[in-house]
Amino acid sequence: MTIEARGLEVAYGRRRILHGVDFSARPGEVTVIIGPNGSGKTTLMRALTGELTAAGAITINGRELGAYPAHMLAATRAVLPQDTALAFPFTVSEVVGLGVAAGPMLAGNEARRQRIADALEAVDLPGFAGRYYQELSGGERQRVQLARVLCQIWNPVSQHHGPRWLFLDEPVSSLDIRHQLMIMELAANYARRGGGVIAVMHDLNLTAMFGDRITLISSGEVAATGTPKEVLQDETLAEVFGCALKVGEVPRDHLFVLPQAISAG
Amino acid sequence: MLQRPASTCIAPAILMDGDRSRRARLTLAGLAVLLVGAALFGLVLGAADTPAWRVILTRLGLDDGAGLKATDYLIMESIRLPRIVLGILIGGGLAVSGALMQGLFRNPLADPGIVGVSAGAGLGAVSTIVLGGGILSFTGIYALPLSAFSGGLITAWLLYRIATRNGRTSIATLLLAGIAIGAFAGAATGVLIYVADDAQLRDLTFWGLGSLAGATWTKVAATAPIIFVAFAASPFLARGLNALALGESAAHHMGISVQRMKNITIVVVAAATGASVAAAGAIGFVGIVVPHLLRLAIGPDHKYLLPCSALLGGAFLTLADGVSRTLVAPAELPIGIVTAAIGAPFFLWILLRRRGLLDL
Repeated sequence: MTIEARGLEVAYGRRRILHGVDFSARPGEVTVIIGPNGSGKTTLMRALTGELTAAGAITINGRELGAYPAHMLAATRAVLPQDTALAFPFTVSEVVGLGVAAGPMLAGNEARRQRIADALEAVDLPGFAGRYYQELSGGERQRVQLARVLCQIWNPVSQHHGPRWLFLDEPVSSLDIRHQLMIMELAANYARRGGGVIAVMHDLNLTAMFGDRITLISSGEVAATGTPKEVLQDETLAEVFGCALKVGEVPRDHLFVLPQAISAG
Repeated sequence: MLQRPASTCIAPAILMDGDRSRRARLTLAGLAVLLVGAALFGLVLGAADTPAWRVILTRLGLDDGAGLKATDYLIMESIRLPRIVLGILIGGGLAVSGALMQGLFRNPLADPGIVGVSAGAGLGAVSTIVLGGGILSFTGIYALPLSAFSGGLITAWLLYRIATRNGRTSIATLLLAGIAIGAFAGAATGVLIYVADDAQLRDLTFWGLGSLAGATWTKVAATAPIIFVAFAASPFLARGLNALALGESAAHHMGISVQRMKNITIVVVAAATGASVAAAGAIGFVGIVVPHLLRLAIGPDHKYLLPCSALLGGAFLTLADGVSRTLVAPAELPIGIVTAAIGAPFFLWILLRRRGLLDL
């Protein structure tokens, strides 16, 4: 019951974005994908969620990705997008309700209403149900989207189909520090309860803090994969990101990454 | 992402829990009553001095019908009733195709009349009148609606291909391409009218008035099945269109087969628009005004927006037809003039409210 990808190949025209990428993620863990801009992180994520078709093999919970009917895939994994645009004046509760509608059947209006309220509580937006989505700030929108996504796969483990998977595409990029921590803790908690979390991240310190496993992508290939201690090393990071970085350790076994200088020497 | 000024696109009411579904269901029931009222209003209104209420009550078995003449029944049942039914079908069809198209293009200004789909459907209809039904002849009374449907379908598909790239629709490209395609269809229609003979010209004139005046039960029979198919398909598109409001990839992630849903939507829009144009010519702005008013009242949830649009569109067109018959009685104004007189200022109002948005 994992996500496994073998030999992924994606090309736009003649430009190859991913070549021969192997990736795996386990339930109960937060797996973080890091890498420089344009390295293929987002493409890897889009291949894993089935948004684009990659050559190679992807299985989710032992089943071929392509063999999932659309509604079953939606009940197995949910994706938090970076883009938070919305076309019509929906209320917050209506947006979160779209997630409820996409997930497994939830009987009754009252259960639906309660689920929406719980999800808004979880993302620290209690009392926002009646607000218009388009009136919210960027960070609030991001959290409403997370509430929607959580509603789609509310229980981390499905009784019949195994663990559910939460994909986060740069989940904290528009959030303040308190809400960065809150979202990452929420993701970690989802994993502790048996679900799987796969996150594309830019912040190396949050990655070090919350990642159970890290896959480092560079120019469409896997440069390193393993635990934070295995992947976050001065030379590896300097080579991939093209700048000097100093990895240190604070008490309680946490790593931190200190930027040094742009020249890798 | 552009920040939207707080005052735009926002309905007036404040909602405690943000759930407008109860209000939407009440509105749906209210609109059903309004539609019945509009139909009765249309039935009793007319140039001829007919005891309309007595005919209705007699047919309902509530009056003995004493003293009613055969012409009274004839006026009610062969002239007014088909006209009312056709008006309801076409108004509902136009409003639903407007709502569907706005959902598909994710913009409240998209409308089959404005982006040239009606012009394409018109070209299809005119070519059938002038050049003959061709391979569609065997379909009899359906030749005209089917050819209008084909014209509308080709236009809608072309528009979609031109205006949407990588799942994003540029509304500027959409409107401009709509102008170009509409102009081209208009030119081709002009050529056909130029080569038409006298008998065909007479047909064309009757058809092109943008009017419900020529309503017959045959026309109703040719229009109803196509519009009903569109009505029947729309509930299945509601969840997909709601999800599409968040963008194509989000819709995909929520389990929507995006491409299939978009294809079905385009076909349904072309069918409803084609059937309407074939029966009554181009009647503009119903598809803009009705869904927009409803979004203000009950929100953009397509589950309620689509059926409410069908009801309000039918009522709106029936009432507009009533106005067009009484303003200059005993003559009548083409109904397109009435809907445009209401709809064009409305369209400008939406445009002005959204002027602050660069992504129009």
